[in-house]
Amino acid sequence: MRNKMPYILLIISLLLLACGIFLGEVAKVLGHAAILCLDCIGIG
Amino acid sequence: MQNVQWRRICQVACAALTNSYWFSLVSKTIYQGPLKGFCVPALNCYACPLALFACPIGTIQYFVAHGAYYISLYTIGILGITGALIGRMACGWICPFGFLQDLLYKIRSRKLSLPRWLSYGKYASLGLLVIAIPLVTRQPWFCKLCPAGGLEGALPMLMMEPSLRELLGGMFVLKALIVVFFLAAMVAVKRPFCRAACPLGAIFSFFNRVSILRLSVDQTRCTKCNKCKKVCPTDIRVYEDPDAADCIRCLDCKEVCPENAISYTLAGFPIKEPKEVLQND
Repeated sequence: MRNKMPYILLIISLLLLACGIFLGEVAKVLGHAAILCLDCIGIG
Repeated sequence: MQNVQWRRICQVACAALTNSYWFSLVSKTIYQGPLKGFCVPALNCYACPLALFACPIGTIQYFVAHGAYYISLYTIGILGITGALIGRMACGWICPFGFLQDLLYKIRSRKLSLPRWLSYGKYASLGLLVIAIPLVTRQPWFCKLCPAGGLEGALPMLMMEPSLRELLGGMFVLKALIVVFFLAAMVAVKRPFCRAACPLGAIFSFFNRVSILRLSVDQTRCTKCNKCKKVCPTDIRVYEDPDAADCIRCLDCKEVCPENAISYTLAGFPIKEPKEVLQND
């Protein structure tokens, strides 16, 4: 079972990635990351 | 070429690749192109003027705090693929903040060891600062306190854009103190942030025992000389647990082992380097 685990995780991760892309998460990430994050700078 | 030299080349290349928006020095703005939609499997602040890609921890927090369904499937997918393939290897070979810690530890000073219980801090950081508190407060609390953001984002942006300095307050002072604390700790302790506070390291550590790439130790050959522990960037005894959660798969231990007791396996198959094959023949 332990030998199969990485492949199971890999398939689940690929499915999650595909779902995320299908749901438009790349655009959401881009929309957020392209704006200067004031929290990261320590403002706010 | 030695393993550590390959690793340095890889770390420099990855740091340069993920932070190469040099136009920001002229434009004084961060990169806003399509690459910013992609997460790298490393802690690399997207507020850094040079950053080309998004930070996975910042993205996870954004979805926890503001997303319609609280989970970034896309980011978890990227981290899951990386973890399932190579475990924590991204920490040792890709992460620019890990690279900085490796470099600062080379400064001559009194060296200290990190108490083992502090390595649970990264799980608290993941559970509380990245998930629980942002879920309740709708604020990205890890980003607010992150020393990588302070160093890669705040410092250059504040130098480039004077108008931002007028907005600084108590939160910035706290963040600056955290940056100073970790920078000082990095000189005296091996990778203190990775081991005690990094939520990304915590996520990848779950995969170390089940990843396709794994370390193994031939206990019949091992003399427990502790040379592996001496070179280990996270101070672990590889022979006690080759798949330890703190192992960042740097493979430096494999090279220093005088008995060739440490090897790595891909999908359960041992990988032999050309010199080992020659020795065995």
